[in-house]
Amino acid sequence: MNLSFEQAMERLQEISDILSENQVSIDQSLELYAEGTKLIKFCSDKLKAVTLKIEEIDSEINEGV
Amino acid sequence: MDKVISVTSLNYYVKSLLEEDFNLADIAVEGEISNFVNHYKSGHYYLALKDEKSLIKTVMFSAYNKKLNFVPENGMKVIVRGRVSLYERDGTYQLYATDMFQSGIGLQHLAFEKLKEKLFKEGLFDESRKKALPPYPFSVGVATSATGAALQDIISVTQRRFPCAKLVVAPCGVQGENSKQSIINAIKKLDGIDEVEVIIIARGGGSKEDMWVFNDEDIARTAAACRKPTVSAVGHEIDWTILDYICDKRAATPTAAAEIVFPDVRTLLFQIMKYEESISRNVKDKTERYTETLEYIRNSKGFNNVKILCSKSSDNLENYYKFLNQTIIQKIDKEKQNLVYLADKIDNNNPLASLKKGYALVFKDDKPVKADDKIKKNDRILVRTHLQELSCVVESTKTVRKKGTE
Repeated sequence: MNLSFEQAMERLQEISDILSENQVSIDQSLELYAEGTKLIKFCSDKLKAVTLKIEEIDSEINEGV
Repeated sequence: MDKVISVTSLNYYVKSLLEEDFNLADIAVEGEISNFVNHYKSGHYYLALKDEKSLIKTVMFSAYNKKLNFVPENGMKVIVRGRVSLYERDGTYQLYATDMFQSGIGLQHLAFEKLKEKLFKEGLFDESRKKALPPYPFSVGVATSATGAALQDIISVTQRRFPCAKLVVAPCGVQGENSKQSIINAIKKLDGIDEVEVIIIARGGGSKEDMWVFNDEDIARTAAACRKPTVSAVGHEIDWTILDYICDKRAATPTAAAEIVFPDVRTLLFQIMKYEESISRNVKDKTERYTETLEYIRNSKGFNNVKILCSKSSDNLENYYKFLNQTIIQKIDKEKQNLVYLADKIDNNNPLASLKKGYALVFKDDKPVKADDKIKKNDRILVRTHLQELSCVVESTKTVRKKGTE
């Protein structure tokens, strides 16, 4: 999936809105359902990590000077 | 002396001379306050500013003195910023103050105010150039002391709110003039790292003097030039640094900065759960509605009428089929009879058929003997009757008809 987390969340909102509007065909609903399920997994996976990663960089090097 | 002028003209002339002078248009003067009067009606301040030798009358209109965070008093050492002009009525030249600082911190503050004004005029504080913070930053840069409380505060808030994130820490000094370059380097380094989505510049609590380095112009310009959104967390609740004005977002403390930057993962998970619920409920509702509709149609009168219509049609089909079947059988029968007749007719012309009538066929050397063939005495011939084959030897011959005659 090439989406960012932000785009995925936006798309989920969109799908949820479309489905609650009741204007879509059953085929389309099932397609959106499949897409939504994938996005939900993608987003939950992204949030799964429970330990913060900390990386210290060497900022003392004076770049380009 | 060839001209006599009025007092008013003289004062007016001197005033215009003073106001033309560029040096006098914006000047900072240090001295001690005396004869301080806070005019009860207008709210203007009137005072004299003096040193060991001299004195200058000073007025500070209420529009300006309202902004002061202290009340001047006699004997106080201050730096007054303002312009020099002349009060025409009394013929006294005086200082028209626009700002006032207590000496000591006064000079520094003057520099601070001047820089603030300069950067403001350049538009560096404009709301329009402030970048929005990313709503879900998975990688955040932190420029701060590696050993300070600020970093610990940020780490603990991030661990609580958004533990799936990564903090990229660029250690730098945060106190004193010599930390300036290391702060600039840290900000630049972080801005150059692709994955970093936002930069927090942080310092733990301390005195005004401790955080003074964050009022530096070069640090301000470095932060202003960042491609990435910046969050300052170096000031106090009340005192803003130049960096606070420059950064896209200002937080009072490092803890507050982390709270501004990171969403709460529990809120997000709850939101995702709500999406999940809403999506599956809607799809379920829809499929159930369709199932109900189908059931309704299946049981409806219209649908059953169609069924009856169909079975009627199939009866009709059956009849057509039977009719066609009969017609074809009749036709085939007729053709069959025709065939038998033709077969008989063909049979009658078959040479073998004449055997039935009592005729016989004669073969010689396995070939039928034709009308013109001549059989000689002692020839072996085969005679075929209807029932038998007779192998014969010719005893004698006799011509009954000459060849070629009819």
